[in-house]
Amino acid sequence: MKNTLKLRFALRGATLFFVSVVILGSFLYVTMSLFLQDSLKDSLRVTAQHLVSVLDVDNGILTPPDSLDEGSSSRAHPEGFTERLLDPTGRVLLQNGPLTAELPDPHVFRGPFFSQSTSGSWIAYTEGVTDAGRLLAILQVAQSTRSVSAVLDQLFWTILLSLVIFVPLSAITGYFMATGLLSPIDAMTRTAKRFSTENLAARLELPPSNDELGRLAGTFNSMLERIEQSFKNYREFVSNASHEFKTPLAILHTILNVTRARPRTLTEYAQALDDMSQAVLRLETLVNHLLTLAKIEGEPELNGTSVNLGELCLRIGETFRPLTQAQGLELVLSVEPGLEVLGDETLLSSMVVNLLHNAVKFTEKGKISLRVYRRESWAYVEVQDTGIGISSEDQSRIFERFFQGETSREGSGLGLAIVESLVKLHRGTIRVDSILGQGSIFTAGLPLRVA
Amino acid sequence: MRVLLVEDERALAGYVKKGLEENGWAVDAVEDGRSALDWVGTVDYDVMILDLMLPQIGGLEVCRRLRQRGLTTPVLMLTARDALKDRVSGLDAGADDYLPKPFEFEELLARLRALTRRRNGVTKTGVLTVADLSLDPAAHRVRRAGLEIDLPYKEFSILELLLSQPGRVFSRSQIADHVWDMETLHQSNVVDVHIRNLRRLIGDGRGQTLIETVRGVGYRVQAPGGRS
Repeated sequence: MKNTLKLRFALRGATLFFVSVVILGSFLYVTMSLFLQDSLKDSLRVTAQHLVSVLDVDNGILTPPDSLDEGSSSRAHPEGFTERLLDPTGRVLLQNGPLTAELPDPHVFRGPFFSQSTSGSWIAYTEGVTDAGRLLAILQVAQSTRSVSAVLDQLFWTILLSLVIFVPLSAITGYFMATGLLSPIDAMTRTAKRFSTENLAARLELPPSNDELGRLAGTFNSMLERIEQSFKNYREFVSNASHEFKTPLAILHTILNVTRARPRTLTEYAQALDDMSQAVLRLETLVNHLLTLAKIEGEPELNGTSVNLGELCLRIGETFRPLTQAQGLELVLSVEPGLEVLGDETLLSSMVVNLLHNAVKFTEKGKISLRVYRRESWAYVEVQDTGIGISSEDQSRIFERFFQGETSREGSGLGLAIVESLVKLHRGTIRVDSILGQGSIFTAGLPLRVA
Repeated sequence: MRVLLVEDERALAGYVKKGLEENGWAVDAVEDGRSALDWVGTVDYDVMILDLMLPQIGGLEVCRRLRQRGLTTPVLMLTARDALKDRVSGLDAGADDYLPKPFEFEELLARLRALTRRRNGVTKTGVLTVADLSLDPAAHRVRRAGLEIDLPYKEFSILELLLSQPGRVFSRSQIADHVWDMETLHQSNVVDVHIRNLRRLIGDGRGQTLIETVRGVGYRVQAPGGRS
């Protein structure tokens, strides 16, 4: 259901209100009832004591009056007041009031006591009339509890009425309060619905507040911001990747078109095939680089083993010797032994290979040196060349995917991006120092394995 | 027709140049924007093929500077980026047409013909006709009095140039600029040699003479009786 949360909120509010009113009402009712009974009893006792005090007792002889109300005529008794006077044997001497038939019979009087009808409709008080310790008579006063009941009934109905009126009211209030409180959440729902690949700019427009929902909205917006950014990055990546694919494809296409347009000599065909294989090689490199990147990104956690960095670099460095010799470059390998890092050997190889490839590619003459050394708790792989160098504005962008410097051509534009990803995966650092026209130094730092 | 090809992918430029030359175009190929601007100022190209992604000065900037200088050379943009905004910014920078990579070579040729046709104000079909001589650049076909004539590329190009503006006198160096690229060294008599060959092939001299020599200046094509 669409509004469950609001309804639940309203229902909980109403239930809470109902329970509190019931508890409070019951407490009030019981307290009130006890208080009223007590005051009724007090009033009966006071009345009884007053009546006893006005009885004519002389030297142990009670002279029954004509009426019990004599001498206290000023006293107005409430409705349902009953009184009677009995002799110590229980014989009625005098009685007056509507409840005479129901009053208890005091067989043996042992002291003053209260009694109550089984239905609770009246309360009676029995008091002895004594003189020097001798019981002369028994006085009983009783009062109907109707007035008490009336007050309690009123209280009951008031409580019930408040329940009937205020419980639905609290439910309604709760609903609207919930609507107000939850409106940012509704806004978030709408924004999330609006947010799509076509509309990445959708944002939650809420007045800034520092409460929980305000913070949630802020978090929500910054999440949308990050999604938008990553979408843009993704699109740019796809656009760049397709561009990189199209160039060698265009070369292949044009070679095919032009070569097939007319009969060719064998030499021309051979040349065309050579040129096509170059383009195919470029496509292969591009695909491999993209796959490597995807693999690195698909493995956020490195499942590493101990790798001897020096041995690895020596091994890879030697494989580059034929290439450097062919280009007339000097290759210098210098390695500090025993430096172990935690990592994936294949991925680390790929890192070193890419760095060396990069150096060879941009160095016409001079030397390339690969050094592995230790500084504090870090192992460093340093590849230095005497190549064309990188301008300072390009240095900041050199690790971006598909970035190619002015002089760069025919690379995938991904080699150094891969190096950076690999270094990051190994929790390392990468930096470049370069002077245009003099050469570059790439330094990858990897944390040494803690033995 | 002479074209300036600006493309930094050497392999691609090589084959485009080869293919264009085999279709009778004279091609100068350069690899960056700066040389493109230098060359386009020195030679009167019929059309320019411009790659968008170039080192130093990009294709868009080359196009803009070209137009700022008041040069109207038709520009065909060639690029692997074919997003809408790339196409729009290319055309807005002053390009006349846009061809995304990879492309069919036939389409490139057709677009180049269309661009030069538009520039020279030729009829829509592109068939150039004077008297009983007609030349169809698209089909690379020449007919005279209903008979098809097979012309070599250089001769075809010269005839195409002369027919593009009947009556106008083209100097030897104008013809040479139009038909040969910078890499081909040409002596002053190379044009005369090809003109002689062209005349022979189209049957000039037997009866009607279409290609006329303007002494001390150059050559022109004029329909007989159309002389003023």
